[in-house]
Amino acid sequence: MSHNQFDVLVEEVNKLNELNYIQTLTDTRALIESLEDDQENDDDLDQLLTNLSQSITKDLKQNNTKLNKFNKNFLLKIDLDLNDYYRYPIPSKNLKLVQNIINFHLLRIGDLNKFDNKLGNQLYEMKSLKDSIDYNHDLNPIINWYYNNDYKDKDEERDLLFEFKLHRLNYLKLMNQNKIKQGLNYSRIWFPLIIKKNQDYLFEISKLMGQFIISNNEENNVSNLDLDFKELSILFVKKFCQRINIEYESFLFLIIFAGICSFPTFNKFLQLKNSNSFQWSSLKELPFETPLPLFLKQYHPIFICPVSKEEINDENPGMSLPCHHIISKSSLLKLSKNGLTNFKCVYCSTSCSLSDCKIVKFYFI
Amino acid sequence: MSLLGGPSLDFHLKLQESSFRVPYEAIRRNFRTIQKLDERELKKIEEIKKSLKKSKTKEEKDKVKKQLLISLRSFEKKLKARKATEDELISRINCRISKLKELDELQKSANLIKSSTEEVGEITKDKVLNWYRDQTNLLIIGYLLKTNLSIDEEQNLGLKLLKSLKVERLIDYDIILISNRISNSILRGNLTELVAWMNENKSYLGKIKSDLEFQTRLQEYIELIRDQDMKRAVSTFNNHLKSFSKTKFDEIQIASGLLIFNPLSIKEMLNKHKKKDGFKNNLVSKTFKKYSDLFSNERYEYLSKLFLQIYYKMNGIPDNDPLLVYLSLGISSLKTKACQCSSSREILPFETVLNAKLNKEDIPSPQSISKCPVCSMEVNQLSYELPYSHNERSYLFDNPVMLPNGNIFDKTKLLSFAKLKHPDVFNENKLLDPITSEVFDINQLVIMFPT
Repeated sequence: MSHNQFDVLVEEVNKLNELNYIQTLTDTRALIESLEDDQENDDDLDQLLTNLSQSITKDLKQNNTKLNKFNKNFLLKIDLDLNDYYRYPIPSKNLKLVQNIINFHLLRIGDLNKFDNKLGNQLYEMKSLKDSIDYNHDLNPIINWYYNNDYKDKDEERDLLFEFKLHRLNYLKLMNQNKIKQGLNYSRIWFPLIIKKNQDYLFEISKLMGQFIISNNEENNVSNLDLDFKELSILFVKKFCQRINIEYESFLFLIIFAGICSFPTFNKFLQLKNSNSFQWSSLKELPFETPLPLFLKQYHPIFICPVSKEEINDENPGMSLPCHHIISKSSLLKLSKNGLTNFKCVYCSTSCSLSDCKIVKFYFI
Repeated sequence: MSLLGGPSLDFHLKLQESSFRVPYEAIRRNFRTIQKLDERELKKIEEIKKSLKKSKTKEEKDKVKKQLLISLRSFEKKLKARKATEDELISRINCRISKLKELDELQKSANLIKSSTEEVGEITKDKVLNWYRDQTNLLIIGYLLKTNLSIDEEQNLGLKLLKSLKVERLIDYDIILISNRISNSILRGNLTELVAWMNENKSYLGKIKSDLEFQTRLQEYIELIRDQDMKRAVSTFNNHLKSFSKTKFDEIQIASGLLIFNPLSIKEMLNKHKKKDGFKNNLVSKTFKKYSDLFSNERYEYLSKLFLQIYYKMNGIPDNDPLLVYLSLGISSLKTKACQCSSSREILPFETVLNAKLNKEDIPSPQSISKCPVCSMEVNQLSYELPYSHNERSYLFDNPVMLPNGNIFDKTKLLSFAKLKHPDVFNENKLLDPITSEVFDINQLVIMFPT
């Protein structure tokens, strides 16, 4: 992947970095020292003065050129006017809402605004537990939290996979530190409990124990746990949020991320339509699809009617045909001439009548 | 398209134009100061050369040399300080480049790992997301810096967040704090800092032909009238306002009228006419309103807005805050027809929303299942006025199955849902609708073919 603009930036900044005003400063110093010594003859002094004049002029010219080039070769090439993209401005009466959303985000990211409330305290606890994994690779506080948390009972089905990963890593950590006896004791306490719950783990666990017996080469094992700790840190935060029933990600972050991801599409569209000639600001729906990462498309199912290509909604719901294909209500009414005639399914030619069809609704679980 | 669908590195440069533009403009201004400094020094060198040639005695020469030494020392000191300013600004640009390089490295390694195991993929994905989390925080800091006009700078929420996240080099907070300071003083009715700033930037203001100078001088004049310092008011009028008489005739006319009407008498007259409230008096009260408007506090807000507009433009700061632009774009591209947005106009205080969120009932409902940012409690009012996203294709799930009530779910998830919630009650043959809590038989399931 080549980055034209980025390479230009790096190149131009390297030029900006180069020895600015060094010649002027060197010559000034030389002159000052010579005057302080008071040893020079008139010709020397005149020469030093001439040198300084020349350096000043040269340095000025050089810097001016560098700055102009930075502007011309880089800044003007990446010029983008954010105002062009603000077609649906947030009215100033709603700025208080924005502040609320920011406050939630600040609460999520932790230590700044320690709001004195339940959620604030919980998130503070989460942060300190996470810190113990991230900075000390210490899992014991999390194991304690996992089994002794107030919310444990809500979590009806214990998350065995999480539990297993937790104990696996703690065991590996002991083995890595060459605390073999402790490690084996640890495994004898926890792993049977997991196997008892779900025998599928028997295989994983025996693999884990086998590894220890086969590879006695310590160096091989040491230092490979960094990624495991990082993974567990992510899993832990997800688990914690699930238990206290809040979202794993800050909504503000998700929205901003979606905004950044869709920006290139808006950009392309603006260039195509030459912006002013086309008023997308008056529309209730964006005139183009903005591709987003799949995980941002997992909030509501979206169904596009195969006949009309419209998205179904409450007024125009999806209808299930007797053959279990689905089309929108408006398409159904059109095909059946408002229910007066039978029609054939667009997919499988099954004969359908309006009375055989029923409203459906999609849900993510 | 890169991993996770974020924009390319070059596109990120476009998005962050202002984070390069702002230090550049500052370096440019610094350069102009150096230029003046240099030009003065060049002139001095020529003078010194001449007077050295002219001077005959050693005493005379020594005197010139002494002069030269003093001037050079001061020049060196000033230039060094200016150079330090420039170096600091360039180092900001370098930091911003390193931050973008981080993303580049992450994307490269993510592409390499793509084929590798799932677990490593999760971690790389999280690292990339982390980069965007940092960006989000930077946007928030920028927004808070500008909107938190607390008098005590240290209390500015944006500045606090900036310091706690240690991102001083990634945001030109000092440049924003200067504008906050001036804007704050304007709002308090003090024009000294604004006038000082205008004097420093005379050439720029002349170039863009802004209204700021006239409006500021007019405000100065109004303040003097308010204090009934007529002598200084007249001299301000003569020195600063008269020259605008060609372009600003109407306003000058009203301004001169203030010499006769003092604020109190205007108020009295207005009240008198209001009481009469006749049609005939409309013109009269309209005229008086023009005078009384000049004394209104809204003029401070207007002046502060005008100043900020020019200051931001001069420094390369976008006038619409990027955070708001991304919010608007982000919500529109996420908003689906199924999103539940609130049309309520009442804006609840943060604590109330927070409490509502904390105490939300733990019953499954479409909202609690979806966890959609657009219909979340804190965002759904903002989402109401923004457009829906457009979709060309369906986004559903594998193995869709329909219950007798018409609800369609992912089969695997539906089967495990009942067992997860009520492991003791549900056996192999029973199903629970997560939305309506109705119970069905497993053989009532119908396989659907939506696409």
